[in-house]
Amino acid sequence: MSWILRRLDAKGILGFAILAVVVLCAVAAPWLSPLDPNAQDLASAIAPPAFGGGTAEHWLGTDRLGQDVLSRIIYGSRVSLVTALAAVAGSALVGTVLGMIAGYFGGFAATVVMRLVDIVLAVPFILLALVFMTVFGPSLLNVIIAFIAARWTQYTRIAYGLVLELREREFIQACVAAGLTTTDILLRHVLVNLAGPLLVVATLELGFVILIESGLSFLGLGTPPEVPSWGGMLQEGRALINVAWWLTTFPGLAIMLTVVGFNFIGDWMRDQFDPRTGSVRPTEIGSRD
Amino acid sequence: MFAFLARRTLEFLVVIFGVLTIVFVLQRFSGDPTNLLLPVDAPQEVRTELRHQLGLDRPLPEQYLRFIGRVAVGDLGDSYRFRQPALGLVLERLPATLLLASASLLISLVLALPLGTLAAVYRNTWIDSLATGISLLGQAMPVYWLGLLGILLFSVQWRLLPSMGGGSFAALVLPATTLAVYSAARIMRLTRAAVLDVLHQDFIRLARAKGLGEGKVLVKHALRNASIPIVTIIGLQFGGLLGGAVITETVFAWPGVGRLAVNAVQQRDFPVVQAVTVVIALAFSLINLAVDVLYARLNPRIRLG
Repeated sequence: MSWILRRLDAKGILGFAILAVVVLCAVAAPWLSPLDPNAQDLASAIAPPAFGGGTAEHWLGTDRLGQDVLSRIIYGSRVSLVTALAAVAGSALVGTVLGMIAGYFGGFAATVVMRLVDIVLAVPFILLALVFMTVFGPSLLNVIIAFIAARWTQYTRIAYGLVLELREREFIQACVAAGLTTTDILLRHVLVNLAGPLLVVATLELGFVILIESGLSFLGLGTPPEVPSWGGMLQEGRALINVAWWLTTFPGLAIMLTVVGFNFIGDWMRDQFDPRTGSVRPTEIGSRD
Repeated sequence: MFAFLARRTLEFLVVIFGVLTIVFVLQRFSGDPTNLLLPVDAPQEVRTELRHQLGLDRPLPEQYLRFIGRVAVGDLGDSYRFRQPALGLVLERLPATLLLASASLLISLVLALPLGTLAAVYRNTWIDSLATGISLLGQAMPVYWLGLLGILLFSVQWRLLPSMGGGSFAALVLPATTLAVYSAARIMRLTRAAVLDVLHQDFIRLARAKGLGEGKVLVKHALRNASIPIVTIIGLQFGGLLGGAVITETVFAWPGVGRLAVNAVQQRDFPVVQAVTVVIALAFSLINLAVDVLYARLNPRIRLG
């Protein structure tokens, strides 16, 4: 822990601070939010925020049904974080395993896996998610599955390239000569050397997932309306954009801040693992495309 | 060059084939289309007859081959809702999406290339901080949110630009700019890194040592070499723009394939979603093919073949 603290720069501190706030919101939502996020109060519907002519009862105003915007934003962090964690954990697992297999064994396995990567990458992610939602119906679980089905490619590309290099190194050759099983070599000696770069990718992916998940909720393909989510709030805000600017402004700010936080942490970690800051490699780590 | 082109074309075909296969598998998962095509109380004989007409009673491998065969002649099925060929519906709307994506790419290049270069040349000055800050926010903002804010300011507040529809230049400004921000941020970040990388190389020092002016060093030596990674990411960004267009088009009611796809998802109109996917994958792969060829031409170190 102290190792991390000693190496923190401004970006790192800001990133972790933002993350801490978001996690706190998600975990302690019932205690932090001033009101029940689903409590409807039609008498004070579409009330402006406290500093824009509203009352102190609703700091960030209310929506069409008189629900408190601030409370819904605090609760909304749950959907974003849960989706991001589940999607990133799943895709990192699948992608790393496939990338290691392809890199270590090469040959036919590598051809199949890497062609599959090309195929998945040929379809823009949003479209792939749309196909998924058409087939399996829109729901949060299906959103997570769609992310895993598409985003494993990010880890596979990085893991594949790194393992290809590692395989030829002497310490791995020594493991083979010493008679270690392939599973042992992969799990104990190869994986530890992938952890750093893959962690960077995973952190940047957390931000990406939050960004895109909110987009899917905005299109009405994510969470059901009764579960507060940032994307869903923006969808509702869109219909009232002529009368209630606060409904579109604040949830978007929440998304942006959270994503900035994850990107800061990702950038900071990249600097830790790659001292040649600012250098460009053909497969820039954490490339989102 | 010929061997290189042949290999890349083969890879391209493999990818397209793979996309078609995935689409076919998902199509089988999407349930019985006769449920969507016929009224609920349709008699069993009608249902069986329709299944026979659609070829759904045949073995899967045969269905797969027939599917590939139909796609090869441009038949991607009929839309359940519009009752007309899905491919036609997509191709009708494709120009609008390509216009939007191209305009966005143009805007992001005009913004990102000079800003990224300036940030690298004036590293650690306020110009650099400004550019890096803009790029950071640009990558963290949801495209559609930026669009909503744009509507809020330029359409609702100041009444300068239309908030929806296509057809006029004014209607293009908001969606294209909105869509451009994310890729501009990415391209700017990469341009800055690429130019910085090149500026530290020996041949730049040599160019300066032989007395070349800073401007010439930058344009003739630095930018030329920095362009290689930039061209690659521009190709990738165009794919991202086509994807991002899906959401942007919905926000601005832009009459393109993205909005078509989103509406089709809501109505579970699988043939349309399928046609959009195949067409976009095809366009994206073709662009990547072109980028690879361009890349090989720009970078003399790449051996073709």
